[in-house]
Amino acid sequence: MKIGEVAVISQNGQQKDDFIRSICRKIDLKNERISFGKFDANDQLALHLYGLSIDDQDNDLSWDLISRKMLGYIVIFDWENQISLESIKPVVDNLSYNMRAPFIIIANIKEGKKPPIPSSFFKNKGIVLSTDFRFTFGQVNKPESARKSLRLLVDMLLERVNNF
Amino acid sequence: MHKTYKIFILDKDTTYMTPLVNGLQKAGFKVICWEGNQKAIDIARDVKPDLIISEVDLPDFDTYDFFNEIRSIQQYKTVPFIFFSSQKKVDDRIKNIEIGIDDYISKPFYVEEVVSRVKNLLNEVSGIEKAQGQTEKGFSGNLTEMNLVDLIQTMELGKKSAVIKLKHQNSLGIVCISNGEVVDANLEDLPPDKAIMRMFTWTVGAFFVEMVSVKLNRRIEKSNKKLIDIGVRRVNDWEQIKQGLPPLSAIVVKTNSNNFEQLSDLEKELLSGIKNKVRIYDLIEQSSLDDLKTLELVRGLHQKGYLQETEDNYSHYVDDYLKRLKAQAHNGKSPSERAQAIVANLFKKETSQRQQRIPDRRQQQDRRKYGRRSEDRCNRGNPVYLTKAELLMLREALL
Amino acid sequence: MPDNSDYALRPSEKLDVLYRLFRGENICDLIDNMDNTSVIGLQKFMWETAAEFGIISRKHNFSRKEITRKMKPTQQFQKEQNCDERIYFCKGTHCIHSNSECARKKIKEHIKVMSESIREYIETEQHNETFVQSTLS
Repeated sequence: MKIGEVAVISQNGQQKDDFIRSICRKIDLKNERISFGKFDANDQLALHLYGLSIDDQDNDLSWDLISRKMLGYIVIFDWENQISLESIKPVVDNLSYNMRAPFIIIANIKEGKKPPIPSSFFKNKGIVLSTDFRFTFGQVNKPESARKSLRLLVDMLLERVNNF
Repeated sequence: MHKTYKIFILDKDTTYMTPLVNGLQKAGFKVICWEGNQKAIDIARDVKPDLIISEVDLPDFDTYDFFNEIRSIQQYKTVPFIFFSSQKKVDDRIKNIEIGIDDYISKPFYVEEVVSRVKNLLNEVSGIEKAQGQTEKGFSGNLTEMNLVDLIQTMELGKKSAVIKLKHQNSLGIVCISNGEVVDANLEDLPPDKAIMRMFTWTVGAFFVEMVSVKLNRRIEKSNKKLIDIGVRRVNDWEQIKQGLPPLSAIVVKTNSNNFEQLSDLEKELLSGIKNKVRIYDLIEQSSLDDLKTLELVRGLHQKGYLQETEDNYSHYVDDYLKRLKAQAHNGKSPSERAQAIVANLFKKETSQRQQRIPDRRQQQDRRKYGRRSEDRCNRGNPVYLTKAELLMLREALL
Repeated sequence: MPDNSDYALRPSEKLDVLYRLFRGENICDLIDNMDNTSVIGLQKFMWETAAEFGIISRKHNFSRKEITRKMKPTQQFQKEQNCDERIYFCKGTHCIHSNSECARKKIKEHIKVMSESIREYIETEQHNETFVQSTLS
């Protein structure tokens, strides 16, 4: 069984758990540091999602290990909450300068709300902010939306594979 | 790999061990297997392994204690440690991440995958050690701070052999040095002498020096002394002429002046070759004349009012960007764009990686104090370790 | 002259810009707290975003001129600033270090035009989307 791994980082624990649940249907394991979920693409290939919340970063988590093994990252913040945006900023700068894996920033839209811009601006490949990261709007508790965001990440990986 | 690395494996399960040991040996590693028991730590001390692999579930043996004990020995603080764990035990996996092991692999595994992970980890460690030993394998930097003349002088002093790669605008040039002597230069289709002359004038861009042995037939006849003399003169002349011109990235256009009497034949020839807007850089590159001479002619034409810079706030850049976006939106990147991007990207990654690998003294002291640091490792890795087919499968499953 | 890539904004700064842009907030204020390099980075990022959004909204009809024609001509700007520097040098990358105040003023004006254009593209798309939805329903 081949395994790909993705870290899901959010400002609060709820968003990363929602995202993992949307992709994997359930959270397989959760402790005070990490939430873990498994998505079986088929019997030969699985995707493991490790959820980390930014509040937990003070803990002595092996960030180096997490970073080295990850195919990519999903960073989630709450679009309606500026504090949430502020809290992910150091993380995205850190990911951008220290890691070579791509990442997607999801601005999470609450139930019943609409993204502030028409979907045509981000539906295909997100808003491209660099070769390594993209921005998109989504609802992480909706499986369809979460999968779409994860597909963006897979597409970025495919672009890398195609280019080299 | 020049050194034969020793891998110490703790496991009893021969079903998995036999193919793994074969695979590792085939890849050039020396493998020492031992079953998990109280003697394991003594054996490990004797073996002096470069990497340890251990099964988590060994009867009557606490692998975590073994790991902690190994890590408490100064000599083994940085030896990579891989755990084999049963895939079902997610709890173990998370615990493994938390205690700081270097990698974990689920059974059943692909031998190739384990071998590749072992190689990655060992490369990573040896990369750090090499960085700690300063710049034995190479160094990189900015041409503004150190131009080609400076680089040749540095290589000559130490009688070093190296390949120097220079990046300037969209061009990539290579200079080969053997025992301190410049032996060859390569830039687009230019002959070596002309290539090196052009590269002497590059004072903006990046360089990357790879210290490797160079065994090439000499294609540059001039001695280093002569080359350096010429190089220094060219850099000075170049900078002086440049002062009378707009930036070389500026776009110039012919004016409507029809009076060519005061122009020399060479100036007329150069002027007649300009059809539309052109960057000064491109003008120099396209000219069949010597670069310095062309620059001088451009300055003359500019000063006499036959060439003038266009009002072009960002237009060149934005037009390029638009062209790229539109190309991507339709037919994908053109082959030449793609090739350029790949080369530029490769060079960029290499340069930035190497730059980060050259530690200052304080960083080195910190490393000795704390062992391997997270950022040493964050800067490496993150390879796309799934194949294209696997990524496509994943994508399909996510639909 | 430094390469354009030297002027890239940090990812967090890009996020900030998008956050303000999509909320219809003022982008120009960001400049006051930015160093010279970031100001150029902002100008570049705004061009990229305007171009990307412009292409999505206008398709093949998009042209850079659609935005530049709304900008004050450089000659006029220079005249207003009593600047007799050659016209080529009147751009952020050149005079931001020697005459930061003037360069920032010009860049602010340009960024204002670009954010207005981006807003326009967003609104056009919003209308299209609403139109399509109402037609379908």
